[in-house]
Amino acid sequence: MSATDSGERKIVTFSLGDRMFGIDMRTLIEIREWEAPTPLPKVPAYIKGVANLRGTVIPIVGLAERLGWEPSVPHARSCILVVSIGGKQAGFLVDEVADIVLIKGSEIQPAPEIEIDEPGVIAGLVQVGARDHDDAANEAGSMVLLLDLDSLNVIRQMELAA
Amino acid sequence: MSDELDEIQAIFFEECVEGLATAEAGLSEMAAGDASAEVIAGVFRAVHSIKGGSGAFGHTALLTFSHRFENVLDEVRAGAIPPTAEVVKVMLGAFDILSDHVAAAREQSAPPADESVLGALDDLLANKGAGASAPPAAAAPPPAPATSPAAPSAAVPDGDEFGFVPVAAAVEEFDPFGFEPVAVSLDEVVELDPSDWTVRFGPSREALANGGEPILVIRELERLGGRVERVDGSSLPDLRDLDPENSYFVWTLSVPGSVAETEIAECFDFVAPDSLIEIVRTEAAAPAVRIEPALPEPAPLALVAEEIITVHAPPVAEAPPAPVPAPAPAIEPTPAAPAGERSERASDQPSQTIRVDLSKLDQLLNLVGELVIRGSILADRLSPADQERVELPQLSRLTRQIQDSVMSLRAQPIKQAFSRVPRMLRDLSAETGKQVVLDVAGETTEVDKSVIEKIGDPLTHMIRNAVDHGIEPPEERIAKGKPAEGIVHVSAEQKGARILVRVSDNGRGIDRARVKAKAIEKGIVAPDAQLSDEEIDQLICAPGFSTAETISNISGRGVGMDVVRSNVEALGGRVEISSVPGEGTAFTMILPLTLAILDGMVVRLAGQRYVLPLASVVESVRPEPGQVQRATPTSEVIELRGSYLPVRRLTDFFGLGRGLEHRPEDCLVIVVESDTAGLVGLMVDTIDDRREVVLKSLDQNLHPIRGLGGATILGDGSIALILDVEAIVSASSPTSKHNLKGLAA
Repeated sequence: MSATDSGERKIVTFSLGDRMFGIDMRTLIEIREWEAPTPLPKVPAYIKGVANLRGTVIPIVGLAERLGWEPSVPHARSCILVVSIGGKQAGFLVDEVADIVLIKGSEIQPAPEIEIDEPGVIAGLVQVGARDHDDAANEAGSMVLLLDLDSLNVIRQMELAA
Repeated sequence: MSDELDEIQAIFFEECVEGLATAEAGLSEMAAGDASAEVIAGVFRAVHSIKGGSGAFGHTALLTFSHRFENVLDEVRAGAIPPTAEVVKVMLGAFDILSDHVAAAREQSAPPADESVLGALDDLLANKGAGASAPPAAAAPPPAPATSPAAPSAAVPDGDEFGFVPVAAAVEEFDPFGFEPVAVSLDEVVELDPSDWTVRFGPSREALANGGEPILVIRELERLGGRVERVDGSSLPDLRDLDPENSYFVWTLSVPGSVAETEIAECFDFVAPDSLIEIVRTEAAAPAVRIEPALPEPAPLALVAEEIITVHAPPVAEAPPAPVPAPAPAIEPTPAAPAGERSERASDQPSQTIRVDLSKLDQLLNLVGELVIRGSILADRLSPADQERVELPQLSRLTRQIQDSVMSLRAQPIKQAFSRVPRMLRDLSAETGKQVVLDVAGETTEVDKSVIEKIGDPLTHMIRNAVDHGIEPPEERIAKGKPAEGIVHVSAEQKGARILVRVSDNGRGIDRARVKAKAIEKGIVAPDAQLSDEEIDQLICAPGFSTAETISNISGRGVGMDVVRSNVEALGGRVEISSVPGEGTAFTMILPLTLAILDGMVVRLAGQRYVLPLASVVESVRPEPGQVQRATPTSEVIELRGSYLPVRRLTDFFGLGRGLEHRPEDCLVIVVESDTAGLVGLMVDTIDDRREVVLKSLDQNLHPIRGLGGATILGDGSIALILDVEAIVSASSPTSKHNLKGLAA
């Protein structure tokens, strides 16, 4: 997902700690409830294990840890975003899935400086307006960091780490 | 439109690949001295089909080259050019260029330089075929009837029997593709055997424009036992109205009733669609069959170019009407024929096959795997009495059978992987000036498709290695009293649940002193290391190792054997090296037969379930107190009937907590037999179950993890990891990636 695209697109927004993030809908395969995956031996800590996605074995990645922040502790509203990156599938543990919003390419602003292990992963910043049918009033005007999971290249990183 | 054309093109290129394989196999047989009419005809047909398709798709360079190649083959087939070793050599050269042409057409890249080969082909035509340098056509004797397995011995007409008269001098002039004049008899009418086929064929203008040659179609039919009954030239206009690029004739042939209709239809595969083609039973009752030619198999539209495999189907019941004996039977997998020649022959027969997109087979396999899993969930939830009541055992049996059938669909002869070897050897031999003869065995051995796909690269490296490092230059060989020609054997055999693929040479063998010196120089082993011969041989596979004094074009970059080893290990196999100085070296890849299903023992480690492949399990032991003893501060042994076996605690190996303070007598020791380290005890918490599991790769979405062979989904839908016994026992410490010594040492 590049910030220079124009045109409208759908993003899925979710939270990690107190920050809001968004990823392009097109990379999303499904959202599942958190269910403890089968742990893998000898892998970096941010790989939580593997899960069964309808017969395919996919890795479950703790996104917060992957970005170099405090690990998220799974709770009742934790979700796994199953995405397809570069032909491979992986699940990302996030704190809470918020919404699906339509944004315009022109609304995307350059990425701010934030403390993160993978600077390239922030594709930009977008202001998401309040939604009238949403009871979460505090969402009005919230900033969403767009993530480019492709550049995160989880799979390659895992190989390097192994 | 273009999508559809692309798909048809994809089929064409698939067929080119098959055609090239057939041609190459035939040429190799000819090189080996078997130049029977059957073999030559097989090569001819293959090249002819490539030519036909290339014309239809406008691959001009390929068309031109294959046409000239075909001309020579035609003369060889007719006996005008004797298939001497020299002639076969030229044809092998032509074959290589033909392969390059096909590749160029496929990749839309520049066609290869073919002038010198074309020159050699033309020389053959000019010199050896002197008597036939005029257009051959009817003068050439018809091909031997033996090529038609289904045809009765009767009725192959002598070409001249009908008093053929050449027509239309103009035909020779306009023809850009070297059409041969067609000899016809306009008034011959012959009584037909009532049960025979009557085939009418009137090529269209377009058929000629595409490079189709009616005479070749007719010869094809003759090979099936057909004979030309009459030619209708009634639509032939006056000479001044004659369009030299049009066709005006309609041939009527009779083909013996024993020939399957599909075989006849195949003769028209490359004929343009608007040509007149009728195949009818001569007993007037049978309805005319108008076939749609030019699209060999229009059915599978969603084809993915590279991922098509051919599946053998049993003879189709509804195929031909009426009293035809069963069509050529599907080829049964034959247990490793000594030289694979027979099967080569068999594959010349039109077998009943369909093409299936590989991803569809994979999907089927996945679904069957899911079915098995759901079945075991059901079994878990029902009491034995309830299972009987709902006939669950019967269902399970059926499921098992389906699973076996699907697996067998994926099994393919390993020949596919071997097909590029002859060419490679010829190239290598030309580059190095070494004389090498290839000897292939066991190419009909069937292996899962996934294995075949992945052994190509290792095989290439092993063969390069054999020629570059193994086989000596001719002078050196003669000086040693060996024949100037070196031999490279490539063989495959099935041994239990494993496939052994071996590349061996009768070259100089491994110079162990030099290997060791080099390894010390490169810091791969310590200068004072005491190494056995096997360990030194294994050094060849160490990363970054190369003894070649000058880096040759071929190998010597020090990556080859390392790649072989890592590729083979990724497949769950291993490489064995044996070498006798002065006599040769053998590299053996030992691979699992299938990568998809595994008989396993479900064990628990730190509460989590793992699967241990049953194939390597020897026994399980509940140790008595004191039976497991510490040999060194970090290693343990178990005393078993007087002998001591090393024991590995899997929880430690995987870093799952619980160290040596855990009492062995609370655990189980499973004795496994490993290829690299012999008998080893693996300590686990408990054994849960024994079951067949469907192997899921971890590296599809992840990367390989040392010690794990994959994952599987258990009856309750949860995932269990599959243990890789070889990797576990051969790792002297969990982190060593390339340790060269097994524990046994």
